[in-house]
Amino acid sequence: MSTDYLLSLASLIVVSVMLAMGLNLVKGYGGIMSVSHGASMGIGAYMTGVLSTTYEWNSGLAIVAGTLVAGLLGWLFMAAAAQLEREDFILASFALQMAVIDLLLRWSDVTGGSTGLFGIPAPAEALEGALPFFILTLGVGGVSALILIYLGRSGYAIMLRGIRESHRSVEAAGKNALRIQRTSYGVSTAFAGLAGGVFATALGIITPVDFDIERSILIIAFLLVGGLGNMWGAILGAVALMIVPEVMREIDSIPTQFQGPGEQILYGVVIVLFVWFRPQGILPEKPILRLRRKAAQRDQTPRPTAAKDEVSTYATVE
Amino acid sequence: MLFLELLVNGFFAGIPIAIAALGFALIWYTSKEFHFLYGTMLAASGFGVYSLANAGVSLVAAFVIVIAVAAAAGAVLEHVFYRRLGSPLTILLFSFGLAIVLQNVLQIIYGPSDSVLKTAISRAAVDVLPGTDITRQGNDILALGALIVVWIATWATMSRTDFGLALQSVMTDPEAARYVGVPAARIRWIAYAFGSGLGALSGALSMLGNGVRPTTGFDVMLFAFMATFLAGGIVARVPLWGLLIGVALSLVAWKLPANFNTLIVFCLMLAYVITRRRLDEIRLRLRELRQARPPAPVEGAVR
Repeated sequence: MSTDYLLSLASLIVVSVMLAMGLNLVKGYGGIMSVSHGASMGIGAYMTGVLSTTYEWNSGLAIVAGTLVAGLLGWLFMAAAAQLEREDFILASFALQMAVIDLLLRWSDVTGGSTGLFGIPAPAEALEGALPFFILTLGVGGVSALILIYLGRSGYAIMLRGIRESHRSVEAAGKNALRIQRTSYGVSTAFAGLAGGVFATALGIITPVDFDIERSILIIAFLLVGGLGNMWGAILGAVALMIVPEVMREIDSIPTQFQGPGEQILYGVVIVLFVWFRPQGILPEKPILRLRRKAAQRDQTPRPTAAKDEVSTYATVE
Repeated sequence: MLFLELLVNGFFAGIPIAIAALGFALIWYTSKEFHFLYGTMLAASGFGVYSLANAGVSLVAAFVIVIAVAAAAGAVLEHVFYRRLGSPLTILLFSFGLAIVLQNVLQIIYGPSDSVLKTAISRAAVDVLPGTDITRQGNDILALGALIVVWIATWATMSRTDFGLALQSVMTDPEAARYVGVPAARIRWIAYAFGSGLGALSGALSMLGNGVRPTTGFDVMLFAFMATFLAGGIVARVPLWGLLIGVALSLVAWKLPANFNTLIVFCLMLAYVITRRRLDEIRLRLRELRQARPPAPVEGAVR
């Protein structure tokens, strides 16, 4: 295994971490089940790709444009769909996901159709090699991670958790719940777009299949494995699930024609086992500090965590 | 003429979608869980018929075996696994994981391209519209017959039997159904069994027609999902929407470039989901306005 390969793998892991953390903001904290983050990533990646190849922009600038467009589209989508019921929202985001990928596939004059776009340059010539590029990716990913961890600890995240538990009580406290949802969704999709842009420049080639519904569900899987509503969990989940197929690739005894499907099977098995044995993820969500103190004072107070709620409400159903 | 041909093509292309949608709807309406494995099980059933028929089993027996196995698998999945997982998100991911595994196992066994089972029935040509030269293969007529049978059977079960009543009550409100003594847990796994059986039928019929590949299941499930959603909770309407989706996909080719068909369908779906609630509200408001005529004065009434 060459160093270049390891470095590009590391870049992809950083991209996955960004995706997982971005989605965590709306899914983990806000409880908004979106299956269109793959599409947001695709919008960022294709904006970067098209602007930097066809229009010959500097690809750093193109990534910024892709981030903004992905964020704006996410904001618009949420503005239209925020008041939908839970199931309808999943459907709407599902339709959006499919429509975006279909557009990327069919609008082949611009996007190159199913063969995709290639020759997407790095932002500067000094960054052409794998190592400098990885350092850049790590920098972008690190700054995004810091922003998102900060957001995850801020009062903003507390409001999002409040909206998840009860829309009305947040509004009764004088907050505009819809506006909070819109902005957080916009921020989340912007990070997905940024991750897509970095992905496009890291690989230099993108196809619509990279951003399809399976990608969206894999991002959710990162979160579920790592733990919802917890930024460190998102990081851990993304890293863990990205490394799994690589381990498979290292086993030489498997015939080559079974390697691709074999990786996928291992992936599936890991997700299934995780959901079955540890549905709350590696790092479960922690209660908000003040609440935890109160809970310690009054011992019997139930801990208001989402992961626990999801399990316990079910136990009462049957 | 082209229009008529596209119409007929779309109609017959819609049949597997309609059957699959009926099965998907039974599961989705009853449990509100996204059974992602459904599509892959559909494809696996197609391959099951393929292998059984190639091994010398008669076609009828192959169909029966495959449908029974799929129904049993669906029931076991719900009763043993999904029931304990609880939240819709974990069920989605669990079945997504299983779907990845099954799809790749199929790919290892059968390869990524289409497998088609050519039998005597698919060689027969039937004139479907007298007076035109539009003919269909025998398997299409078989599929049409199967659709009519399962459609009527489902409708009759839903509206004429106690079981159907119980099923409808769970679909509308599982909590309330439990309070009045409906065994919601049992109804759920039965719905999974029936739904999975219908999916297997759809996959088996596709195998006789255009063929099946490991990823077919996902595509069919997509349209089944749309039909389920468009039917808005009424099971008997689901196959109709399945057929309409088939026709719509085919008719787009009449005036527009054919490769834009799915894009247009998805955009329409997105627009419809987002505006549906508002449209309903507007409709209600209009009805209220229409009914809000000043009441006729009643003699001696005190208001």
